[in-house]
Amino acid sequence: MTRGGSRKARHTMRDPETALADGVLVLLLATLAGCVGPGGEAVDAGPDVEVVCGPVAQDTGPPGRLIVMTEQYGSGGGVTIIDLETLEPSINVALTHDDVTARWYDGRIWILNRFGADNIMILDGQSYQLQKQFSVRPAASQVCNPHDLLFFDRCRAYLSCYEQARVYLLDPAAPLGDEIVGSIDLSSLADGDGIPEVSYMARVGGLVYLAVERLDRASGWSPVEPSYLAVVDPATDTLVGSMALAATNPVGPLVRVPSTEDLVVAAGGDWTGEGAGLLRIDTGAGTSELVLTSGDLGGLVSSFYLDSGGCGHAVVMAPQTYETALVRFCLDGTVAPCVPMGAHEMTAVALVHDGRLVVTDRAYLAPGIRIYDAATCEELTQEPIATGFSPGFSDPLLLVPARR
Amino acid sequence: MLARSPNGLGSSLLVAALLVAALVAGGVELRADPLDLRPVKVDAKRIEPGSPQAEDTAFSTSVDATRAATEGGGVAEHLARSVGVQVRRSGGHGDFASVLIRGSSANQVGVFLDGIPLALGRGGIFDLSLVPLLSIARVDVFRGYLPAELGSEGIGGGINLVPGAAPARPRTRLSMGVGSFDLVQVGASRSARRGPLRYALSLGFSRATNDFSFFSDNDTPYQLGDDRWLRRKNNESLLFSGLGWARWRVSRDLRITFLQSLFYKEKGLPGPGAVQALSTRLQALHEVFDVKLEQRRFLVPSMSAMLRVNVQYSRDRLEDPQGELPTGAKRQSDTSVSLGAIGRLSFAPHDPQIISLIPEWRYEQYAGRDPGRELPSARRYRFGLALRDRIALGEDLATLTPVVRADLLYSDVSGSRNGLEPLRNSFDWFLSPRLGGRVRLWRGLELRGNVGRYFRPPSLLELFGNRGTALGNPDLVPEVGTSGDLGMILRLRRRGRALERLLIEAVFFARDSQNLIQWVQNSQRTAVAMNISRALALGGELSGAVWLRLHSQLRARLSTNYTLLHTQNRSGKPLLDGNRLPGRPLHELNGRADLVWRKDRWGVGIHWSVTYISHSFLDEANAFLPVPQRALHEVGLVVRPWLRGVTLAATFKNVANLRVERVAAPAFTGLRRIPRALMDYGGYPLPGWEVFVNATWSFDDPRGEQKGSAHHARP
Repeated sequence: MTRGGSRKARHTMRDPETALADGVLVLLLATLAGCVGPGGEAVDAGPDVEVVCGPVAQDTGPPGRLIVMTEQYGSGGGVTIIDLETLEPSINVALTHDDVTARWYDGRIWILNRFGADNIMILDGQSYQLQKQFSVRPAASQVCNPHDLLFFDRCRAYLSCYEQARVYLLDPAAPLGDEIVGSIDLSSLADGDGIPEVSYMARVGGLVYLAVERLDRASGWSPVEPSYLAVVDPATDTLVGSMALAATNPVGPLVRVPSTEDLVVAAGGDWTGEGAGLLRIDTGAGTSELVLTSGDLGGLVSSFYLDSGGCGHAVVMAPQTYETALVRFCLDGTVAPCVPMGAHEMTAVALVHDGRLVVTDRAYLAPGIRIYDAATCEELTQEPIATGFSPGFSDPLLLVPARR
Repeated sequence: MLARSPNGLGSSLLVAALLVAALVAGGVELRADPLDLRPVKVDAKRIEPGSPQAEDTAFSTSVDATRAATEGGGVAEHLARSVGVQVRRSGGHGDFASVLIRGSSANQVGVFLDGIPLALGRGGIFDLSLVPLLSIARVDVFRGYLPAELGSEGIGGGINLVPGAAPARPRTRLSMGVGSFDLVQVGASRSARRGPLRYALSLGFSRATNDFSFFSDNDTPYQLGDDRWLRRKNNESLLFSGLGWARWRVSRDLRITFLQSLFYKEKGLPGPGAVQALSTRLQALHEVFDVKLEQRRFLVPSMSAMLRVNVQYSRDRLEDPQGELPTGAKRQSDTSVSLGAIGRLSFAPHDPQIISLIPEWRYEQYAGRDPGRELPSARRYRFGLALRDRIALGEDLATLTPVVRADLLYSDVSGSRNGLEPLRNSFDWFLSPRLGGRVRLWRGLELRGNVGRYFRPPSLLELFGNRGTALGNPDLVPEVGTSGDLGMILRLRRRGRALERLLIEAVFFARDSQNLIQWVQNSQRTAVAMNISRALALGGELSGAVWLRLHSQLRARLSTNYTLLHTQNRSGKPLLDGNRLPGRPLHELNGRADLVWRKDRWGVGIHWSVTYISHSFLDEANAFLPVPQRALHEVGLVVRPWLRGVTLAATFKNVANLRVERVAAPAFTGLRRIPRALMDYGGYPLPGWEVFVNATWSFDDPRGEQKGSAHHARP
């Protein structure tokens, strides 16, 4: 099955009032200069992209590029690409919304423009040219705030909308306006305001697990106990269960513990540090445990990764001062300092295959990426690699294969 | 726009009186007749010792509010056509608009009602849409300079809203207008004199649905296939205003003035973007009560004194029952109370020189309420003292006015930030020297220049936050701006038979603003105010007007102004540093042509105006929302039929119905140009063409001139 990814359209929409008004006014005021109104020919972005539905082979090679999603609050954001070999940045290869994250799939970059934009942009993974932009609003009057995208194949994905009580089934290759092909109702997991705050997703053992934060929007976004992990069967696209979590407010990606079916997620608690930390979830047993508290780690977890040994690094933020630090931790409870509190304004960390850590730094006058040796915490960069705008707060890093 | 007064004091007195006439309310009678193209004049015998006429070096503009009201629109809309003023609107009647002067930010422009500061300490910005044109007589814009009585918190300058004066005869004025988007506007005013008492009262009401259609790109700017036309929802506005004053001349040298104003507004808030909020609403209330005592011959004949005390109350209530706003607040109420006093003691050792001492004291308290959380309450005390010396040389050949003002501010807050730690207090002091000069080069040609240092203290919100997404920073220091201008004014009168008057003004200006406060996001959920930025603005203003007598019954006025404004972000932040500041176009041109025919009681007038801007951006990054160029046209018709005192007016705005702009698309999209709704703020579309029809009935009581009037307007 082949579907076009875009189409050319003649932009001829006319508001009836415009047509009448223009006619009258042009007749009466024919000597005045000015624009006549919208019209003319316009072309939708990007070439027609043939998409063949079906699964995509996993990228097995080491990552060669770092994608950094940057944000300039109130203006917009950008996509900056850093070559991991040369460390040369390509700043703003694309422009985005100022609340944004990205995914890599099928050799393409999928930009989730979040709150206030509600759309997905697909970029060619080599040329960074825009292939398609489409809205993910469930209806014209409904907002989405797309938080995560989980792919099954080229024509099937799950989309979590933070402002809705549903997870949406997406066919990105469908004609414009038909990308949302279904939904899964999660309203049974919502708190009193009717919105469950569905965020990140992960596939484990044939099921899809979704973080349900449950925040009361009427009282300062305070968490409502319990938070959940929703369980969806992708074979039937239905909610088949849920797990009450041992901590509230699961923010950030669901990270799989290597060689297990456990997931780890950062729990934000009530944002003060109480009841926050790293939560380990046994998807098989349906249980969860706060394996490291924010007190153990030194702050609220903004970002973390796990290596094959069940250890990793985490960016933590002190809730009182908003200062950040980088710590080394293991799921058995050991924690060691790496970059001291207040040294930089860090938001995210990722591990490159060769033992380097990439860490974001939002320093006002010199935002960028710093690189450390993961084993020794020695900084390998003398100054941040410039990213143009500041790296974003939420899930701004993506490691992808090198450019061909 | 003034001719020389008959008694030979020179145009400087006339300019000074216009500039600061609000502080001697009643000194100016305005031409409220839309068919009268002649400039406003003031007849003043001499400089009153201690009067604000002492500062006559500023470059300023006056907008006749009464005449402007017949054309529809609000204060901000009409200020947008003034030289050196930039306005950003959010769309529709009663919309919030920010007014910038010479590229300043909105909170760097002081807003005053008859000299009373209106922008209280909590947020630092006053919503000009609260004050309808019907309730005032004139708007004075001080560009880059503030008279000492107006304080020092005007890095960009100041806007003074001037109440109406009491004319020679008691006057009643009724006005009713209807317009596009269900706009209804009614107003009534009454002004009179009765012996030693003068008074004026104006009431106004307006409402509109503002349900204009607008172009929507569905928030997918690079996908043209889902673009469509939508209609603005939840954008209704309702405005009520009442403003009255009474002046009692107790004796030949003592008079007392009372002023009471009430402004109320309800406004739907549809928000930005294609998905409009349907239930969010804002209610705003602002009340002012002021008492002013003015005493001439205070203690000695050459000394005068003035003391005014005022109380202000403002309340903003935001309701969001469906949680459509990202803040999550369902119902939030902010209340501010202010108590202030300002005095002036002036001594005129000899006639052209006036030395003034101007103390000011003000107390402000702010409290916020949100059922879901505890909000901080904050207070601010401020004390200011200014010393001004107006030195005149020759027969008013030149004046020099040095001013130095010192301000002390103390702010504190109750409670704690996010319940985690107690907040600290904040103490600031600031010294703002100013110097203005004026030289009359020869008849009709004048050279002026001003230089001054101004500041903007951090608002209470910036200092102490709101216990939600906005984190306070008690360590903030005031923004500081040093500005200067130099220019000339040329006035010619009755040159030839056809040319009645000519006015040309050319000014160069520059301003360097430092320690600018910006909100910097420091976590996913919060932003903190920081002194982080710096900006430069420089440019030129060129304005001119010519009055032509084409025939005994036919007159024309052609006026134009051009502002060249180069602004530059000097923050040092990558991709922002060196950029143009948003909403400040490099080029702005306003032009207007009026043609009026009058015979006996009959009269017909038509006007055409155009506003052109280019080279602007709506975003700091100068990358997302360019505004290449834009031209908006307006035409109007005024008719005075045989009915005495009745004037009918119709105004057609944005006659070309410009609602879509085509802007350059980023290279990565593969598109050349993309359509976008006409807007001043991202996500807030502006309406297309509108019509406003107004009927005004104005009549003077046939009882003749009242005794006790000290100021008259004469043709």
